Amino acid sequence: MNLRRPRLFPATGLIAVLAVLAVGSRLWGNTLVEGALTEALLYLVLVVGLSIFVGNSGVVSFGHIGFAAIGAYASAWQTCCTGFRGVFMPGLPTFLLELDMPVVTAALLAGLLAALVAAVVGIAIMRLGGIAISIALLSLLFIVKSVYENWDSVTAGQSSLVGLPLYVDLWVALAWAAGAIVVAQIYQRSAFGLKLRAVRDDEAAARACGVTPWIQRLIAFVLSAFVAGVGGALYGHYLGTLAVSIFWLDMTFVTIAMLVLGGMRSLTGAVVGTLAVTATREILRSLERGVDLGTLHWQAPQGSQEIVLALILLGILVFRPEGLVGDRELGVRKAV
Amino acid sequence: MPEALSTRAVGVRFQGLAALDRVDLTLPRGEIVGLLGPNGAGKTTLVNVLSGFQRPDAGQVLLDDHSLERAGPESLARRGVARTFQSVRLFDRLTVTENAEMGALVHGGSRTRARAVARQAIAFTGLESVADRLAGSLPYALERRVGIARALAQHPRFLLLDEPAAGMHDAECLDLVALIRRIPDAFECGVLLIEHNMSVVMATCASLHVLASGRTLATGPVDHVRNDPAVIDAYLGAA
Repeated sequence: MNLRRPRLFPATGLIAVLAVLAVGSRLWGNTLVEGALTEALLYLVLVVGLSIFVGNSGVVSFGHIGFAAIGAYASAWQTCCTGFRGVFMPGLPTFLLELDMPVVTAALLAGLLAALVAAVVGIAIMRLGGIAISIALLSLLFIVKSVYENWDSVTAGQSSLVGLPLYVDLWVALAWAAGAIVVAQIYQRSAFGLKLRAVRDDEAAARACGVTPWIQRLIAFVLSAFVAGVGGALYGHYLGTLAVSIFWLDMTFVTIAMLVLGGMRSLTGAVVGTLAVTATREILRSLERGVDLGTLHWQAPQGSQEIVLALILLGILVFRPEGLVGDRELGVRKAV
Repeated sequence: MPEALSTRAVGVRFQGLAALDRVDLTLPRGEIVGLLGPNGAGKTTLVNVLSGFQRPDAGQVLLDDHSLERAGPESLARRGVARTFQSVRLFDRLTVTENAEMGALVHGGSRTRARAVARQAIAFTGLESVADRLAGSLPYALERRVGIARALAQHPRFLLLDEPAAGMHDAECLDLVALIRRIPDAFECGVLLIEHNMSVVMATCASLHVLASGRTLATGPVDHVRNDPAVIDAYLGAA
């Protein structure tokens, strides 16, 4: 019987593992490793957000990075470049120009804006079925990019926005990643989560149980957009600069790779996948910079990162389509 | 008027072809009615109409005395009409308990409450030993039982069973008969049973409704219907 597990397991276990990794990297003192882990934790916020929708609905979303972009810019509108905000983004309404929002509140409000956009577009998109939803969500990513790239007066268009407060370090990233995991866990365990997984498995049978499929999809979509929006906001404050092109196909591909590699339907999978892909990328990145083998200097060709990652993903899809951990969760015996 | 789920002159056409034509069926609460007919007679279409999956082109569906004009399956489920599917349609990646829980959640409330209701349905259908297994991993006969447990967890006033004995061998059929016979009293609900297996039908149903080519051929108490020459000719006699 795994029904009587502590309410927040595996979330607490996963957070404990991440905390140990964070403390370990700090004690080790290797800034490269600490940086990589910080980035992994930020990606984890995005991936966990994505998994709230994808994992429970079974619908792959190519659009969530659009919500990350919305969140990132929304946070910039509230916190960026005090004093110069009107210079970079003259189109902002007056109340935003003068605003000096605490960064945490800004991140939450950024998530709310992403959630609001998700609620509005979701009312239409969530009624679609099958592959049509995924294509509509991809279109959403394109729309967000086009709008933000051309909305010069509030996004600085195709040039970069600089001067975001750099407050995201290892511990901030860890705290938000933990928060995202807890939110995902609570949703997964809720009646809403169960209903959506039922819709995922059999839509007609779910309807016969009184469930309206698109409404359940919409609830998860809005919640996951919120988390992805917060993730985007944090990423902006980690980089310190924003460009719309950051939130594009690369990031979409990497986050989906993380989720699929680990196991789409499990929170543990999201964590394992994110860590595994980040580690792989870091190793390849350093190979691209070049390594010294005795007298020999060898450098992996530029772009190996993407190619090797794609090959790994392909391998997983062929040989282990359920991902590294499948449906399993940390500490929970697999129901047969 | 006693509580009943019924159709009045219901008609359904698929591309000009009449799947159902002026069918009057009444399922009183507390009784088991058998729905018979050769393949293609419109049995499943009728169940789809009664459960809101198929909107009739003509006629009405009545719950007690209320017309269910535009009610979809979700709304009918909430009003106490539960069904199983010929193709079972379990939530394969959920456990047996969670499947039943989904039934219980039809009336809202917390998962804790739903789980308690689910456990009762699981106990009633004798599925305790597989309660924590994934539904998709079960053998066929057990899958069908889970489908019934899920529907019963809705505490329905009317239960529509679409070929629950399909693919079962004799011993399993006997178990199923015993189970179905206990349902009306235990859940105070009416049961509409679509079944090809005549021994299952005869052992459970008090009255029968026979369809052929979308029309009602005969309806009434079992003894009356089974001696009806039209029925013998069109359906029973064919065997």
